[in-house]
Amino acid sequence: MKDDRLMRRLRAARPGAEPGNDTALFARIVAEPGDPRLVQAPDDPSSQFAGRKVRSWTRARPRVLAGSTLGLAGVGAALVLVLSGSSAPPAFAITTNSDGSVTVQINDDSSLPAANQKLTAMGIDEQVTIYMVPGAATVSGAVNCTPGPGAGVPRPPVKVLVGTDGTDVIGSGQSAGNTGEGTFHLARCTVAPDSDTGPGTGNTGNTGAG
Amino acid sequence: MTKQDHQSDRTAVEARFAEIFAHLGFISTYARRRGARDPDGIAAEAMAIAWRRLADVPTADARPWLIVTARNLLLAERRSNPETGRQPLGDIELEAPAEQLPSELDLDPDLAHGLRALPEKDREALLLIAWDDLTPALAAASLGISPTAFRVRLHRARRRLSGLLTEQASIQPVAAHQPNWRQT
Repeated sequence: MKDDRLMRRLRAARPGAEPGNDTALFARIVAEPGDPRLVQAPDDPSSQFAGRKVRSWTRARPRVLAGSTLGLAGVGAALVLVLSGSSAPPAFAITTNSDGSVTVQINDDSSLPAANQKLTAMGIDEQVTIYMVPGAATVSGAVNCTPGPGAGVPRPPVKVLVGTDGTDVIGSGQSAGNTGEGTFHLARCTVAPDSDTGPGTGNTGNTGAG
Repeated sequence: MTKQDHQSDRTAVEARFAEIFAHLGFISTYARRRGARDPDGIAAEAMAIAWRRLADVPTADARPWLIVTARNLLLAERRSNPETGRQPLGDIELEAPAEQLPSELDLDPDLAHGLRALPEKDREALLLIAWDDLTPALAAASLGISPTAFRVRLHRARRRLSGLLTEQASIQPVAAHQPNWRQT
């Protein structure tokens, strides 16, 4: 039958199949909170994967609000991230601009501590605090960081760019207490000495006007 | 609920997800055959979504649900990529630059031409059967149509592709046997 020949020809041209097992990926996914209609909290001691550190499982999607090395605190509706030092592998970019300012592009949560260390190594002895608020960015581009409380004007000026346009999508269980799930954008950032991680007067970040 | 009950529930849920996760390779293959730039990433993300929405995943066969999820992720991937962002769903990127094509999609020219010329819906119906080994019922579910509607679509797709291949075959011998032929 002609149709059968056609389907055989199509099948013969079929690209090969992928292997279908990835134990490590399975463990990382199951360590997430899961469907609240069916499963308990991720730290449920009955899970064979309880207590395992959850890491991003995709290469393409940056996550900023994740990672146990981050300090996470709520200020109003905003989420505050404080960069703190650790030995996490770098996944960021620090660029010195022609006007002397420095742009910190954060591509992955694990890069935040390393970015902070790099800033320190560059002579910028400050902590960068990032304020994320719900919703996608309406204004793309790097955000100028303002001085935190009691801090002087940073020299050189520091800008932060989250991902490629200021928007970050946080999956379930990717932030402390699961409070950061959803789509967020960088609202503002501050730069303050290491001893000060509190909020300061900010800018409009990637929120935009109106 | 006792701790033992709790543990039993958790184990059952993870066992249920393990059945779905067994389709990881299937979804990765599906994404790659449809021209995904990061098929493994799409498959992993589809599985993560399945875990977060486990109650929504059909228990009988998760593949149609996973295909729909992977298709949405594929669209998102293409929207984020200016080079392929305007290509429609199901386009296997046969016209994309060669360096972006997996070698597995190196189809013979006639078949490539025929598939490319098919309407997207027809092509997907054919590939779900011929490449992904789905039954018509599962393929219909993955497209959100009834099995009857799928059978009609598949029949139409076969007829169209067969016609296109016949047309190609009728053109080639002319060129082969008349090497000096020139179009006027």
